[in-house]
Formats: sequence, C-alpha cells, structure tokens
Amino acid sequence: VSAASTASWSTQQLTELLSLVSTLPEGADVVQRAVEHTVEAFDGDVGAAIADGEVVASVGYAASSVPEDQLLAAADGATTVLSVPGAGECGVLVVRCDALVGGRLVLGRSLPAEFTSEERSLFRGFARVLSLALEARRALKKERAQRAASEDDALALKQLLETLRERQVLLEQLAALQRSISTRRPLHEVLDAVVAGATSLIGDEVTGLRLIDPDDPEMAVLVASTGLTAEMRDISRRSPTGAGLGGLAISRGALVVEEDYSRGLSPLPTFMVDGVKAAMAAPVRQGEKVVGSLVVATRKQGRRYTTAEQEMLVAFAEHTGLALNDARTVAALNQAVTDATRQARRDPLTNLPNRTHFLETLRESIGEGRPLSILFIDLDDFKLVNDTLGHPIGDALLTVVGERITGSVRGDDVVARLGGDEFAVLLRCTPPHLAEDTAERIRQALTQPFNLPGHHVLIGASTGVVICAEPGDDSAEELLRDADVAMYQAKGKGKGRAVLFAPSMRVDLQARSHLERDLRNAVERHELVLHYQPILDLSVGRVVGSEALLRWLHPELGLVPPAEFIPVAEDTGLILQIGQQVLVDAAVQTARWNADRPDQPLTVSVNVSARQLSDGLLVEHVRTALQVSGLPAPLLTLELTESVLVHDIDLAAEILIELKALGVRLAIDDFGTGYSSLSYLARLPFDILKVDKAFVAGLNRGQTEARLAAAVVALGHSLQLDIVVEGIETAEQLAIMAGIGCSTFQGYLWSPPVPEAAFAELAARTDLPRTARAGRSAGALPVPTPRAHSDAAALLHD
Amino acid sequence: VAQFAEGQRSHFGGVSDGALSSAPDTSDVVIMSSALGHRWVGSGSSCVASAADAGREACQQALVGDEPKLLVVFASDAYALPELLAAIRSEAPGAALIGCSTSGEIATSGATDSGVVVMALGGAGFSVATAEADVAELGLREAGSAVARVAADVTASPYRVLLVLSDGLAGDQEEIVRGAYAVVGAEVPLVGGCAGDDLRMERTSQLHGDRVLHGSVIAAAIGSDAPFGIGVEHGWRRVGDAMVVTASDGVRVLTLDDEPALDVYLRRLGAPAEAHTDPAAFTRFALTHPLGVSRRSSEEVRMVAEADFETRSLVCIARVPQGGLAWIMEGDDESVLAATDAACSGALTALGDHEPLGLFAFDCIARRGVLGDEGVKREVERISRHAADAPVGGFYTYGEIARHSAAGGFHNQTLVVLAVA
Repeated sequence: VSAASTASWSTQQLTELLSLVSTLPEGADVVQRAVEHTVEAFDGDVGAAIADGEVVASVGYAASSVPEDQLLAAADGATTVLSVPGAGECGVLVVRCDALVGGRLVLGRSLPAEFTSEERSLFRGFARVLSLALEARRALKKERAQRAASEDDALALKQLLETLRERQVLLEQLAALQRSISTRRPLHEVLDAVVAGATSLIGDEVTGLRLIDPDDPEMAVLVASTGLTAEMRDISRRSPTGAGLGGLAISRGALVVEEDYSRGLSPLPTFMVDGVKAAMAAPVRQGEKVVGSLVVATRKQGRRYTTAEQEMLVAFAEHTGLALNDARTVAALNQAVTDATRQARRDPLTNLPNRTHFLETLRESIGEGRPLSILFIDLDDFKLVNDTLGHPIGDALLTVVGERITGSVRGDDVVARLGGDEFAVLLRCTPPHLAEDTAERIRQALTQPFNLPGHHVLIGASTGVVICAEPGDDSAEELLRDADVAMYQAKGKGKGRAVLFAPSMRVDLQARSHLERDLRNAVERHELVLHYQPILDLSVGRVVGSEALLRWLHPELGLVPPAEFIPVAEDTGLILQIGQQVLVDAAVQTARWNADRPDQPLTVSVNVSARQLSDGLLVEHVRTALQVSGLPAPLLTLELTESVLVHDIDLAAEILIELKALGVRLAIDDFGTGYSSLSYLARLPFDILKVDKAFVAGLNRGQTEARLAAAVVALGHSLQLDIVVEGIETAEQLAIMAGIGCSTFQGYLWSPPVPEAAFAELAARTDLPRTARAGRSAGALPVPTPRAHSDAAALLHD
Repeated sequence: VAQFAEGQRSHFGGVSDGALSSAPDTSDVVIMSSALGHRWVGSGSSCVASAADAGREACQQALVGDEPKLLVVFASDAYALPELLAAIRSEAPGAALIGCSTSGEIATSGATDSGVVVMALGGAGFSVATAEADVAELGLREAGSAVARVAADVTASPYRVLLVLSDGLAGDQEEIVRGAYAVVGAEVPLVGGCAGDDLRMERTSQLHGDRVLHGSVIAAAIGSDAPFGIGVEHGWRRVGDAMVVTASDGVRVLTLDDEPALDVYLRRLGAPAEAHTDPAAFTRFALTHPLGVSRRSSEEVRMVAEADFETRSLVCIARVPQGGLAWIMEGDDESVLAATDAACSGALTALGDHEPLGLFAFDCIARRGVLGDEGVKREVERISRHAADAPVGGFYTYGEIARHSAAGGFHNQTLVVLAVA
C-alpha cells in the first residue's frame, strides 16, 4: 500500500461515514448503520453502541447471542478484550458518543488488534460524526413537529433549518479538505484548505491554525491564517504554546468559547487591540496528543456561537488532525514548522535576531564556557516618539537604533531586538572588562540625533550590563533577566545610563515577577474585587454615589495594595482586561443597588488608566458596560488623572469627547498635583473636579494650604465644574472645605472603601447630618466633634 | 486426531481431450477415525449439449460417496436449467441442491464455457441446510439475513460455513453480506459468489432444489466435523494517481474529480473507440479495468459493469463511496496468477493439519478477461496443483463473497477459494 493511500485513509473514512449517515433515509437505524460502517472501515470483527447502559446496536454477533454484559464492561473500560465466537479474542477500542445518553462506541478487532494512534483519532472522529448525524436528525424531527405545532414559529424554524444547512456545509468542507490532501496538493494549500474550511463553516473573519513546534513544545507556530493584519500575523507567527484562547484549547484539550473576548479567558492584547470581540478555539489532535489548535475569531460585536457552530469547529478540528496525520503531510508539516521557526528567529522589522534566537545563541556561548557579557538596552521615552510621531516613525527609529548598536560592537558580537524598544547585545568577542566601555559607546551612538523622514528625534537609552567571567552556573534566561534587572535600575537612577548588575538586584525582580504571575492568576480566579468608597453630599444628607476601587485579595499575601499591583498590571497590559472588568462590575453593581432605590440613584466613579485610554477600546468598553448593566450613562463617572492625559492631549480630547457623547460624566482626578495645566482643564469636557487629598491633608497645617484649596475650588467653580473633595479624615478638614463652599465629600471620616455588602448598608442610611451651607465656624457646623465623628465613622463602618 | 487418508476423493482423467471419466471409484474412500464423521467431496463437469445429459453426467462424476448431503451446481444458462436440475436431482434425490448460472465454469479438469459443474458433499460428518430469499420482496439486506438464519440448523457441527449464491445484478451485494453478518456474526464465515449470464449482464439465475429463481439469494449452511479454510486475493494493482469520488450514489459513480466519471475513466485508460459508444464493447473493456477503492490495509476492487452513456456515469457491482478515493487498477497474467496461488494457499493454510477434501473457487469473470483462454487453463491447473488430489469446482462470477476475518466481505475482481476438509 503506497504512502499516499494510507495518507488519506482516515480522512477518507470519515468522509465516507459522514456521507453515509447524511444520506441514510429517514427512519433508518443510523446508529446500527454507523456501527456497521465503523466495524467494516476498521477491519474490525465486532462493534456496538451503548446508550443508557444498554446495547442499542451491535455488529458481529449472532443476532440471538449478543453478550450484553461483556460489551457493557468493555464500554466502561472494565475489560479490554472481548471474546468473540468465530473471531476469538478481540482488542477493544472505546469512545464516547455524546449524542447518546452515556453513549459509547465499542470496536473489537482480533488480536493482535494493534490500534494505531491514527485509528484512535479516526474512531473518535466517527463518534463525533455519528453524534452530528443523530443531532441533525433530531433537529429535523423537531422541525417537523414544530411546523406541525405552529406554522408561524418562524424564528425557531429558521434556526433549525440553519442547523441542517450547516451540517451540509460541514460535509462539503470536509470533502474539500479531503480533496486537497488526496490530490497531493502542496502542504500550504492543504493548510489553507483547513483555514478556508473553518472560515466558511463558522463565518468569522479571522481563522488561524496553530501547531506546536515538535522541537520546542513550549512554542506554537501559526501555519495558516486568514483575516489577520500583517502585524498580528508577525506577532502570532511564533508564540508561547499556552498563549491566548488557542493555548487554552491546547492545554484543556477541549473547545474553548469566548463571546466576550477582552473580558474573557486569556485574551491576547494584540487581538484586543485589533478589536477581536469573540473567539472559539478547538484542539487539533494527532492520535491522543494535542498538536495544535484551530481558532476562529470575529471583530463583530455581540457574536454568539451556536451549539451547532461549536460542534462543527470541533468536528472540523478533529478532521484536520486526521488530515495532517499521514506521513507525507507530517514530514512536510515539520518542515513548515521548522521554516516558520527559522523565519520566526528574526525580528521582521530590524531583521536582527529576536529573543528566541538570542537566547539560543547565548545558550551556545554559555556551553562553550568562554567569558561573555550581555547588554540589555531599553530606549528612554520611546513610547513618546511612537505616540506623538506615529508608528511608522517609531519603526524607522527602531531600525536605525538596531543599525547603530550593530555598528558599535565587534563583528561576532550578537545584536538582537527582544521586542518593543528592547535590544540586547551578546558580547562574545569583546573581553568582559570592556563591556561597560561598549555600553558607553552604544549610549553615545544612541544619543546622536536621529534624522528620520520629516523629524529629528532625540532619545536616550538605559542599559543593564551583566558580566559573566565563568559561564555555566546561570542559564541564558537567567543572565538575560539579570541584564534586564540592571537596566531597570539604570532607569530608576534617571535614564540614559548603564548599570552593572549585582545579585542583590535580583530579589526585587523576583518579587515582582511572582506578583506578575499571581496577578495573571488573580484575573482568572476573580481574586480582584471592587470596594466602594461612599461619596456623600452633605447638602442633602446622604450617600449619593461611590468610587469603585480595585482590591486584590491575594490567597497568601492578603489584601495587596493597589500601588503595588497596578503598575505591574500596567506594564503587562493586564490593566486592559482588568480595567474593562472593573467598568462592567461597577456598573452592574450600581445598577443593582439602584433597582432598590429608584428615586435616589447612586452614581459610581471608575478610574481609567493611561493604557486604557491609549488602547483605543475604552469607548467601546464603556458602551458595553452601560449596555450590560443598564446603568443610565449620567450615573457613571470616569476619573482620569492628569498624568493619563498629558501623553497625547489631542488623542485624549478626542476620546473624552466620544465618551461625553455616550452621556457619562468625566472627572479630573488629583488635580493640582502634577502639571496642572489650566488650558487643558478648560479645553477638555470635564464635569467634575476632584480636590486631591494632598490639599486636604495640608489643611490642618495652616492658612497657605487652606488658601490653595480654596483657589482650586474657586477654579473649579469658575469652570462650572462640580467639586468632590477627597481624603477627608477629620472633622476639621470637613469644616474648612465646607466653609469654602464644598458639599460633596469622600474620606475615611465616614468610611474607607468597603465591600459591596457593607456599602449597601451605608448607602441606605438617611441619618447623616446636613451641612449648613453658609456656616463659617466649626462650632456652628453640624459636623461631628472629634469624639462624635469617630462614632459617626463607626456608625458608617457597620 | 487421526488424519485423513489420501485417495478418498474422486478425480477424473481425460482432462485435455474432454473425454468423460470413468464411473466414480468409491472403493478408495477411506473411513475417518471415529472422532470425525465420514465426509467426502466430489466434482464433476460436462459440456454436452443436452441439458439432461450434461446434468446427469456431471452429477454422476461428483457422487463419489454414500449419503450425499449437498449438490452445488454451476451451470451456463445456455442450458435449459429446469431440465438440467431435474436430471441432476434424479441422481441424488435425497441431497439438497443449490446453484446458479455462470459466465464460465471451473472444474478439476479445467475451465469450461457453456458447461455445467457439480460439486457434491456427503457423509455423516457433514450436515446441510439450505434457504432462499427474494431480493425484490425483502430487500437486499433482509434477504441476506433471511438466508443466513439457516445457519442455526447446523449448530450441532463444530465447524460451519454459509455458502451464498446471489444475483449480482440485483443491487449492492455488500448489503446482502451485512444482512447475513447481522444474523450469524463472526461465528459463521460467509463465502460464495454472484451468478453470471455469460457476460450478457441481463439476467442471472439462482438454483434451489428443482427451481430456477432470479433476483434471489440462495444459501447452504454447511456444518462439518472438520474446519473450512477461506482464501481471498485479487492480484490487481493501482495505475496512476488517485481520483476523488466526488459524487456517487450507491453502486453508481457519477463524477470523479468533479468530472463525469465515464469521461474520466475512458480518457485515463485510452479506451478503444467502440467502448465509447457500444455498451457490450464497454463491458468487455471494463472487465479488465476495475476501480480500486481504499480499505484500511489494502484496496478493494470494484468491477465496472456498465457505462451509462446518457448520464456519463459508471455502474459498478458494489458501492463506491462518495468522498473516498478511487484508482484505476490493472492486472496481468503474472499478478493474477500470483493471486491465484495466494488465495489457494490462504485457504489451505487455514485448514491447519487437515487435508483438503475439495476446493470451491469463485473467480471473477474479469480475471478471466485478463488471463485469456491460455491463462485460464494455467490458472485452473494451478488451483488443481494446490488442491493436490482434491476435486475442484467453481465458476466465473460477477462478484465474490468471502467474510471470514473482520467485517465486510463482498469482493470484486477477486478469487475466493473455500477449502473443505
């Protein structure tokens, strides 16, 4: 038997079965026929289908003597050998058949049965095809019944017909795939057929087939795709096996469906930025082994994947595994993965080696045992260039940076771009004692102006240096990380400098990297929770809203302060996912509270980070949060700090105007602590000015602070902004701020941020003292005395 | 267990000149040891013009022992079959009879055309039950099931086989095999062939008792104290690239690689001009150019029986699954004869230590087409050589049945050998 014939044996078998079951006349015993076909296809002797603890179809036994107990035992895995009259001992293969209750298909073949992994896959495929066929039949039956019951139930009918049509499409796509394999099309055409098939089956615009690199199972390669931008393709070409939804499908070995991509399981930042809204991924198997995943995704909002679509993707992925199974394809496939890997070893922008390649080279050098050193170079303020001058200029800059670094080292030293604005140099010719000199030479090269099309750009670079006189103790990854740590120290010391690594630097980083790992887990495990700090309007004497504040309840560390984990979330991009979750959760929770108090609805303020503002999805996320929660837009306030705005004021203005158009309110947070540019305060469409607690804290100290606070409040008023005073901790502070015309407050004087249940109780209180708006002296104010206000705080804490 | 003695079989001289043999010599039949019931197998053939004479003559030759249990008749329908049957049955009135029409017969003495071959089984060591079923009435699958139920009548025997003769022109024969398999399971092997009509492809006959039937399935369940052996081999190999069966409907192949199947077939093979238009010429041509469809570990051969010039499709003797791959197959003297050897040794090996009493051969008409007269002579000689002194009987079929290991058991363009011990 030639290779080409075994090649497509299983795909062919599956197509034949599919063809058989979809052409069987109505009323035919589909299960019996499928079992029969299965036994014949596998050259088996006996076969059976089990449902609900009974043998519902069997082949190969005399009609009168079907050994029910033996078959049930085989189905349960209690026995792996069937004793068959006339055929002797038969090896057993069992697979689940989901369309039957407790369904199993059992196949027996004379010993030595020697079921190959391809056959196991195929058998699983058969069970799936049978399930599809049974469900299609049920759907048809239902459709008939429905049509009989009510002629006008058009929608349900349409859905059912759609389901039936989809099966037909599946059949056609499988046949097309089959054809491309059997007619020995070049591999890339086969892979394209897989992608085209999935695209046409599911109808989403993005489809990708990722396969695990057999030489490096940690990494997966995108071997075929459609609907991806060139940039996304570059990024996805070779990526960690576990990344994204496709990675989940691989690790779980099961279908993963995410209809809310950015808030869901394991979203890829690139895909979020690209606007992917929903995605599904199914594992691709060879034999028992998951070798990759087939992913479909859409940028359309509100996509819902029907059960039929989910099943079809799984069936098609299953089929894909079989298709890729044969020897010829496997060989070509490995080659393709290797090629893609080789290609993936270079950074497409600068054509320098990438991180993977760099680490490999570093590993080799370590293996040689000669002294070496590593420079880790990170451009200073590159983001600013990118944001202000645009990506094309940013890209051009990176290219020239690569050239300048290369020009500053010796011929056999290796310069790599690790990603973003990070470069690394492996000095294997340069003696270690010259490493710092080299770093300095590079620094100087990079501080020269860059003449880019239409722009002269000045940047700098921070460099971490690791010198390794006797390589061997540390791995390549560890050395590079050390260089990274040293680079961070350099940044911390004020940019534009080089710092030599010292072991003590590691400790900080480790803590941070643990934090990063834990934070990722925390997002998946919902350890991040919102606490709500009441905002009171003393002119009406009640809680009018809250500020939602993120808290992380770490299983070991307890409550982690936001100041510790928010920067990590920002750096890793997790903030995007977290930010969106916060928006939705806060809106949903507030809407829930408001359902019980229709006359006095609460507002909720949510903080927005710079990353969220620049990722382009904020408006969409806010809209989603409002839709999901049903919270009226004016009740949602977005708080932005000055630092968030200054990066790109034009972009910020654009987004804020869009947000205003949604009807939400915008608050400027921490005003007066940073740049405090009056021009943008006037220019941007803010509704609320929050007086920072830094002003409030100073109030106790004297008149100057009080005047400053008064000036800020007056400024707010003159711009017709509402004023909310933050950080009120004492009655005295309250008295002063009330004295200058403020009535809306938040602070520990009443309550710290508290969990939702506690907040609900606070918000229900109606016995808060009202401020006398005109009151001037503390004594005249109905403000709690120091003793009394601690009581009030206690009261509010309850 | 004592072995069979040699020389218990009847055989006939005068192979080359076609002369009739002497009367059967039963004196050299040796009684089996007490553990195994006495069994004998005989074969006879005749080509004389008169149906009655031919039947009588062949039957007499075949009856080489006492207590005949089963007569299996393979006869050209050039004979008046009712008369032929009557003459045969008059020689052994107590024996069950099954049989069918042919496109050429196989006997120990060689292959014949327009002749008759009778195989007889007898002795206390055999038990036999027969059945018939009408395909039009029951459907293919149920007809297979119906005849298979007779296997229950010979359960007392330690070894059983179901000999099945059917009408290959009556639809997908795989269904008959499935129907039978559903009843007897793996326990009873199925073996046999589809009746012929001297290649006219119009109507075949099945014989049961004294009746001549059409569109039927006939079976004999044979129980024996000794094993049966089955060998199957086709001897064809693939030519050229695979084609995808892009559309088929049961036995009808509509398109190959999305092109009308007939056009692809004729073009690929460079078929002679007359095969493009003349149905008979096409069938003759197609005989030696079957299609191959792939199975798990080998390929199955599908005989192309007719061309439908109107719809540009091919009609085969068994199902060609849509979505599967198909190849054009070719064979030559050498490969076909190699298959003969393989099928015979397969059947004989399966007997283990038992010596064969007789061999049934169900040989596809297409193989005959490849071999030609000279080749056929050599083939039958080979079969006889394998059989040593055991008698041989069989016919050229429109499809062969052999289900002995694993499910599925309808074959095309294949030689199926049943060795009886």
